[in-house]
Amino acid sequence: MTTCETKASALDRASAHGFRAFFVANFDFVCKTLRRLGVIDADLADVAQEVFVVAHRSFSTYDPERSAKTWLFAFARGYASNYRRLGWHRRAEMPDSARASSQRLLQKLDARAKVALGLAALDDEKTTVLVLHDMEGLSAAEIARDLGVPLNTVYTRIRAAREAFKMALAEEAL
Amino acid sequence: MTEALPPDEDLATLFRAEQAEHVFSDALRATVLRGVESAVLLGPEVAVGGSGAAMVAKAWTTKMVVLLAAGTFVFGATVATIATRALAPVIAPQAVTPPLATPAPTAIVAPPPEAPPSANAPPVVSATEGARPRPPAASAESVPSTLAREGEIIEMGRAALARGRPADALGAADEHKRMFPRGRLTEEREELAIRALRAAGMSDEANSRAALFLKAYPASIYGAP
Repeated sequence: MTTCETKASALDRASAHGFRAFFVANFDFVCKTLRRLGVIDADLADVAQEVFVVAHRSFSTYDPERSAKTWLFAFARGYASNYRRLGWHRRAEMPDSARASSQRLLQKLDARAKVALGLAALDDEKTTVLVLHDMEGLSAAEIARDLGVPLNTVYTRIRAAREAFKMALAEEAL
Repeated sequence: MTEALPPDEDLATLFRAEQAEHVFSDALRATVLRGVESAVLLGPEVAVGGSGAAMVAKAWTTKMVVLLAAGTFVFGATVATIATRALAPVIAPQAVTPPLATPAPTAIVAPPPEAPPSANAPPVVSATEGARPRPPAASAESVPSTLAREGEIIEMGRAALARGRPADALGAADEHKRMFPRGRLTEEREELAIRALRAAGMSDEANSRAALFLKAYPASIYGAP
């Protein structure tokens, strides 16, 4: 095995080591994100697995200087989008959030369902900042750095995202 | 963290309430981790459309074969690395005597190998089942956030080391040992501590700790840290 003990395999080992701790530290975040983006609980394990498999394959590109959440969010968003587009959820009942159509129903929705409902009305950019900034507590500066966009752009997106989010809930309540 | 743009109170209240409604069980975490390990080892064609305990059970014997065969290939080191990790008892509680509790070296007791899944593997556990009673083996650490907290500490230490702050990394390792003397990420903690000691120039302590590590985890994917 010594001939195989190249720099590359040493790197593999290092990343395998890091990945396990990385998985544990970020599992809840990925699951929360998937739920927020419309993945129902019955499918959560399957979709979360897909996200972490692709994260593992790309792990060498992960920069620990940056927020793991921003990095993982892009994967989670992509898989949640595929999930909705391909209609995986048809094998199970949609959450109440998708069917709410009255003030009374909306008031009865739990906070999770309301958030999923509001986020469903946002585009990718707004969804990203609203989740990372308002729900996960990343600073606007961190998000700007990780996404490679100007700080003012992040602020603009946050404001626009909140407005669109509130409007979506208000419309649903009519 | 600077919060220069706080949301209005309605939104902040909603987001706080939403955050509190997310609870994930250790069982779900274990299921997904095993699924990931299987998929990474067996490749995407097996991973597509499947996860969970049933697939893991199917994959288990295959993994053994791959593991044995791996050594004969040029890329054996890589495959074996992943295979070893996949087979490691990552979720089962580990029986570990905390090393270096005193200046004199003490033994690290490696955990016993994980029993292979039975033919009747348990079904995929949905996230909503977190409140359900779990088997005794898991009940000792049934708080869902325990493992996540362990991971956070290790991850912080790892990031500190990557940023050239071995003292902080050692601090994280010590913190982990203090909070989780028999934690599930003890192997990761020790590996982190050894690398941090080396980075800090404390090679004597690093070497003695590495010797204990090798004794406790002869099949570790970290090899000789």
